[in-house]
Amino acid sequence: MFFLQATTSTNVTYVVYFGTFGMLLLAVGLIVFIVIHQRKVIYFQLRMKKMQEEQQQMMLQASIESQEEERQRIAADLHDDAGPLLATVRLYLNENLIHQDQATQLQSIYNAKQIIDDTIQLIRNMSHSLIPPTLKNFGLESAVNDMFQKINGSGSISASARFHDYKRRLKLDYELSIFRVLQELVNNTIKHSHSSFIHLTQNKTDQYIYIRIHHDGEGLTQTEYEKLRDTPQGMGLKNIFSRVKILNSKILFEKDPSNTYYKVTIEIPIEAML
Amino acid sequence: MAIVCLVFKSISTTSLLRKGVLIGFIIYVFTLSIYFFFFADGNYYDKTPSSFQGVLVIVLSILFFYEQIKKPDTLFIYALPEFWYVTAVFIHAAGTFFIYIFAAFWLQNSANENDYMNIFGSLSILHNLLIAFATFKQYKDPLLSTTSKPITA
Repeated sequence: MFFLQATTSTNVTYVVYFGTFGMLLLAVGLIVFIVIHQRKVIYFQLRMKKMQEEQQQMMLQASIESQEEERQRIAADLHDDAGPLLATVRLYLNENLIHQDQATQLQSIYNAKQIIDDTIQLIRNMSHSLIPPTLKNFGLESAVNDMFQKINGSGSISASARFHDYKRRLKLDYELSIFRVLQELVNNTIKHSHSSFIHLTQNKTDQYIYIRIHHDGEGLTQTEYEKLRDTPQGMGLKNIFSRVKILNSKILFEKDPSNTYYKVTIEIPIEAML
Repeated sequence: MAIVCLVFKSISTTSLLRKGVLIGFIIYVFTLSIYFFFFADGNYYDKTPSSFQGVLVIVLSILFFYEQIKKPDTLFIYALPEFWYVTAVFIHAAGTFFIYIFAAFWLQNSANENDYMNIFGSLSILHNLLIAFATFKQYKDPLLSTTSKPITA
């Protein structure tokens, strides 16, 4: 190296020693840093994986609990409503009926028929609560409108829904999941918010469907939703979270800047739903 | 140097290191050709090509470590034989970098030859020990499957 030949031999010796020592120190330092940093990265990844597993476990638990609750409700309905009705019918149509006079027989048969009609209606209601027929036959828009009409009919709260662009229906499974989320949100609003109105709007872009619920009562912000969701009491919110996650969608709880109402927005990707 | 590049290519898990090896080797050969044709004076102690080689090895080693941080294969990086191999060539290249650069001038004084040989010899011993350790780790138990790729040049 020509430019170095101008320096004295002693200086070069120092440069070589210090340079070599410095390079070795840097090399060893870099290797130690890599080892430590790589372990940190791995631990971070493991922690993330564990958190994801815990979250999945939580969702599974919520789903199982929800299923169990539904089963218990159906069992209770069958046991408490359908069971006694059918037992009463059996009483009317027991063997002693043939030994009675014709007028009593006719009255008994008429009563039995009435009770059987009630039982049919009861079973139909139970079936409708499992999957609303309007949703199955006419789609999400009709089912939501139907639900809001019923709420309006109660007179305690003003409810309205408007679908701006929902010409093409989504798959039934997805519509049912969205409907369940909306049902839970609307139920929560009616139960806890003390609002005077609830309004639902639907909009669409090329990639997403947006469903937004406004109400003027006491609502939740995103932080409160995330906090409540992780508590044992937040079963409904857990179900909302797991359904939204299955739909690969997002849900956002907000307070309007004007502080006059709360809104919940669900962003649903269209691509996978058709 | 070709062997070192092939080894680096063999142990690479991402395209970054593979590209680095290819580009680095081409630049190395090109620079070396220019040096030999236009600047080389036939001096035995002129170690400039070795310095080029050192720079390339250092860059490839840093790329390997970067690759390991970005996409770690194992919890303990030092359980990989590749890690010990790269550590060996990295420390050797870093340690000999300055003595190669200054070799032409420094070794004009024969009193420095001993120092040169001491530094070079020590680093070579360390290099060989680490390579031996890497080989030992690679072939310690052939029956056990390892996540790491075998070092093949």
